Amino acid sequence: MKRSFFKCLLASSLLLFISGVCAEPAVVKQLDKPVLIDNFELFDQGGNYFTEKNLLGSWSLIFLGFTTCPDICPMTMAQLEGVRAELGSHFTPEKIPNIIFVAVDPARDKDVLADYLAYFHPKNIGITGEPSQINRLVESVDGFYRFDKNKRDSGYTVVHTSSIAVVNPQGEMVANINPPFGKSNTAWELMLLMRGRAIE
Amino acid sequence: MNSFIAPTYISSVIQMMLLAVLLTTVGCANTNTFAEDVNGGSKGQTLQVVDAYQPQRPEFMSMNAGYLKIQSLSDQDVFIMNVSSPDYQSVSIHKSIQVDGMHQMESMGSLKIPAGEALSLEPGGMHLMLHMPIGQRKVGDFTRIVFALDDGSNMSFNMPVSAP
Repeated sequence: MKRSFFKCLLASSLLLFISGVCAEPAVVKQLDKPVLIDNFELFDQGGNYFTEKNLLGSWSLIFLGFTTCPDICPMTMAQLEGVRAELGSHFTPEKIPNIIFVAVDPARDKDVLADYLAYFHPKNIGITGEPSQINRLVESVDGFYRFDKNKRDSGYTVVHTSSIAVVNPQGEMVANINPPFGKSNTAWELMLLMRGRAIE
Repeated sequence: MNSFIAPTYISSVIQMMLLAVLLTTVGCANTNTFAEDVNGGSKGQTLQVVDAYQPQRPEFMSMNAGYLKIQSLSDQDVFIMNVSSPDYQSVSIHKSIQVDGMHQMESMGSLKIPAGEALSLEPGGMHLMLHMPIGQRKVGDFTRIVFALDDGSNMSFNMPVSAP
């Protein structure tokens, strides 16, 4: 009697767990059709040219931000690190997507980008440059940003797209990651996408 | 010989395990109850702050965020009317929000802590916006935060700077 009660309890807990996981909405939204990233010419944190050609051969997770961002950008960076770590259980290191931080406020970002990225992961890539070139990439990934003046001082902040563009090794944007996202379900869905399987 | 060594070895292992448990307990206690002077205004002891931290950020960054949990010990709503720090030129409460797929921040005038409830200020949500540090902040430093409450009292606590 006691044993069957515990079996029932175990089975219902398992069922609840599975339904909870399945009920989690997909965060990786696949585009109907891949969109080729337009040509652009920016610089990485080491001062090297970074163009659309640097996207070829690897998967990339591209997100917009700015180095004076105190909350969202560091959090997104940490979350994506978590996703990369989870993907380590599915792929060899060279197949794990690069994280590319597009710093959209070059006036404040350009000189400090390397220092900023060094606080996170050495493999992260940060790119910035001329606004016209930044805009070419931003439009390619269907993003947007604007500078908002602070109400209380002469400074400004940056309002920017929250989704993260997933770019395949052919340099095509194929999906979006929409926050809030958990590292496990995002990694799972990315794994499905990268293996050409349907995102469940 | 072996029968002599074995109990000594086991005893040492047990001692080390006990020491590890003790150190862990002390460590946890420090982390979880890192707190604070509890205020004593007209509403009495009203708030408790736990798990406060601010991640270390590069020196050039004029803004940083602080995170914490605030527990109400009161049977009345408490409002945090103002936040300040001797370690920053200004501190305010902000909230990161997502509107139509865009990340943005909004400043919150005051913060209501409902009676008996807890409120978390965490990454991607509400946070303390620390503006213009007075001197560099590194891991292991503490930032003094002062809450001015609606009953006219102040409460203050130390917020440790944690690894990025």
